[in-house]
Amino acid sequence: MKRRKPSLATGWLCLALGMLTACGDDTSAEADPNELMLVVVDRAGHPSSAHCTVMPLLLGGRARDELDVAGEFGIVVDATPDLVTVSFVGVKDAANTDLSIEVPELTSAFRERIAIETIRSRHFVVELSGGCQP
Amino acid sequence: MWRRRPTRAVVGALLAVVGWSRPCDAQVFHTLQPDGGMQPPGGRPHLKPREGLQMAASAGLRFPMGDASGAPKDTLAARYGYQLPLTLDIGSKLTPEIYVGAYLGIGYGAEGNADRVEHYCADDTDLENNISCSVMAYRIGAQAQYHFVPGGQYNPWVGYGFGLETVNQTLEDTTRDVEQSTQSTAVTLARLDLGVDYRGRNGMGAGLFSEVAVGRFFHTRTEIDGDATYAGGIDEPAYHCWVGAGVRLVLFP
Repeated sequence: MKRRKPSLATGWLCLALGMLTACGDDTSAEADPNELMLVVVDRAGHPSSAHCTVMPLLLGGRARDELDVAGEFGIVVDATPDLVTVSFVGVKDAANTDLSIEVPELTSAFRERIAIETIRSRHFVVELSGGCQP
Repeated sequence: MWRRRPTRAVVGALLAVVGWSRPCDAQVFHTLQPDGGMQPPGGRPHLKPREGLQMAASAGLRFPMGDASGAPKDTLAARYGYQLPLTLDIGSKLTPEIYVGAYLGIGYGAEGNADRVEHYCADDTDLENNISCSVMAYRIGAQAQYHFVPGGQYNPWVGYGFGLETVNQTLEDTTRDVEQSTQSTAVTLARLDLGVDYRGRNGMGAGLFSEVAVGRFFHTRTEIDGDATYAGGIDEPAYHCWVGAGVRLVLFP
């Protein structure tokens, strides 16, 4: 079968249409901030506190949350676009309970449970997970 | 005549654009006078050097360099792209050579080359992107200039300034209802300029300049979905600079 050679005008038309439609990335980007969910459970297993930290997307951005858990201890969440750190105030052995989570780790089904003993010797468990949606 | 003085045509066009030619004629009547016996044979009289009020409006293009902070990968170019600054200068020539004044500037720019944000902000090629990004910079400060040939038709000059600069970057996704912004404020330690002005005979001038502005961020503020999530100092400040060039219109050069 003989094929017709496209004319120059047809070529320009295709180029123009292509720039409008076909040349682009077909997947439209969506801003999807990373999140850290934090749930505090008391000794009886009852959730006593929950908090979601949304991480910044823009370089130079920062999110800092300071949480007080029933007046027993404090949790400080400090997030940048690449890293989130969680530290505890008013707990025994605070240095060993602090942790840093990088974004790739957070976005790959991250889950962590940290046992906390407050200075007044009360016990809690802090559950951390990536993403705040149930 | 325009062939002999092509620069007059350029300056005339600039004056027509800003619409300042008539008022300027009136204001400079007493300051522009022929320079007696120094008139070159067959040429035009020299311009007199000026003192007193001088104003300028400049526009150009500038590019980021250096580090925004000491954090890994946090370069100024990763945060912000090129900028189109508009700057107003107002001050006084204390002597024909020395100018002292203030500057006020605004700049519209592009997002930086950080992969993630660039992906969000640059994905407009399919005409379906609902993410809007913007970078605006504001700066204010004081500056001094030294003019080498204040009585000449072409007057080269150098300048030093210092002040404050704030850069505000926003990202908004209307589809997912996500809105984030960061505002970083820096002290401008040195704004170094090098330029040359053409001095017209009607109180107007035009020139070219290049500029390096060295700064250091000391404060940042982040808002996520309308809530301020952080406002305070920067843990690891670093030096950055903007390098650029442009054109300027000068009143009473």
